[in-house]
Amino acid sequence: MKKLIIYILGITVVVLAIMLVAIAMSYFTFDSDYHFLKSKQHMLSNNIWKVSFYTHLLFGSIAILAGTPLFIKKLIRFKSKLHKTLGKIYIASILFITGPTGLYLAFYAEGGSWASLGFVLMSFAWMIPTYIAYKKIREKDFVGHYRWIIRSYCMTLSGVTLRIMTPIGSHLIEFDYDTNFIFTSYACWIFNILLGELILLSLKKKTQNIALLIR
Amino acid sequence: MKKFFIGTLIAFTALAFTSENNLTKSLGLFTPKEEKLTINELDSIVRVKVTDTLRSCMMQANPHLFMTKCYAGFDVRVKVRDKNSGLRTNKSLKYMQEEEFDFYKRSDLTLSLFFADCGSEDLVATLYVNYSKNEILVKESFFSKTIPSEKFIEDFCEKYSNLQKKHE
Repeated sequence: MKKLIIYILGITVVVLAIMLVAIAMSYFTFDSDYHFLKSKQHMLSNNIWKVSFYTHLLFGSIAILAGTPLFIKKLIRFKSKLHKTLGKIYIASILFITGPTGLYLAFYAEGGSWASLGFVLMSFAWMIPTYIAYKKIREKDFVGHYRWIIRSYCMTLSGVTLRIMTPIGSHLIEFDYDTNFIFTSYACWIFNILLGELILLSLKKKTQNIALLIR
Repeated sequence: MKKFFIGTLIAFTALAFTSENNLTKSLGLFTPKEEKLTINELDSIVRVKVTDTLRSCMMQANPHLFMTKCYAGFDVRVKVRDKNSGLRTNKSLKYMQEEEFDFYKRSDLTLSLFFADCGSEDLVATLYVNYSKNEILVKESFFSKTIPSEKFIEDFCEKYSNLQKKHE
């Protein structure tokens, strides 16, 4: 039964990750009036913002596509070269591109300074676990790496939570425009941090086994 | 790695402060007091770039439009936050007091352009004004694209004159 639940949850995560990539890719028609860009018409004359926005989407998608298969042990062995290469792509795209551009875009978020603060904290809450996970693997601390990369990946998926929280805030709780942005800018990543800790608690025994498996 | 990572973070944070962002707005860093926009200034840019031209081309196509015994004309409204209730309301520029008008030349303003004709009122378009750039972008309706005011006027005048010709 437990296996079945894990299997269903795993498939759900993969589907949601692919959906997030599909949403991100839909912006690459470069239509200035498309979806979220409708609320950002005043930013479109700012080239730095525009480049950061599209780079964030592109490399965010790359991070998701590189990161997701790394958790499927049957697909990619932990010690394999492919795991290392995809891992490097995942970490580098978060630490040097998607994270910093997210930090930049946070300053221009809808919802004013409180929403900006939420998204700034979100980008740090994403980059810090990723950096620690990188450090841990360099130190050959496999258990530490596994635990921190789970935290990092949970934060990568906060983009999915953001898109789930937005209609919850606007339709179920009925927040106004600005309040909804402030709500989602905190809720999406705090929820995922808690989710990450919950996963780690349930995997406590498994992480030890993974360490043995890698050694 | 660490140095490169921290360097990237600093660079992107610094980039965010090269133009006005949410934080500089609340701290008033990019908007010194002398740059405050007055109602008259906003009114004049909207007149010059939109309403006066629209008015004259409408008059050309239909000379009696503004000669009715009841009121006909444009009304520009801006969304302001009520200081007491905190709610956003659409206020007409005509009836606005300078003290409740709290905008800066660099800020992007969203206005609603209405046309009142003998008691009936229609929303013509939404205007996005940036005074410092001397630019107005226009979005007519749900399905239409955001376009520069010059293009909007051109399209609007053409459509209006075709409509009048049909009536004749």
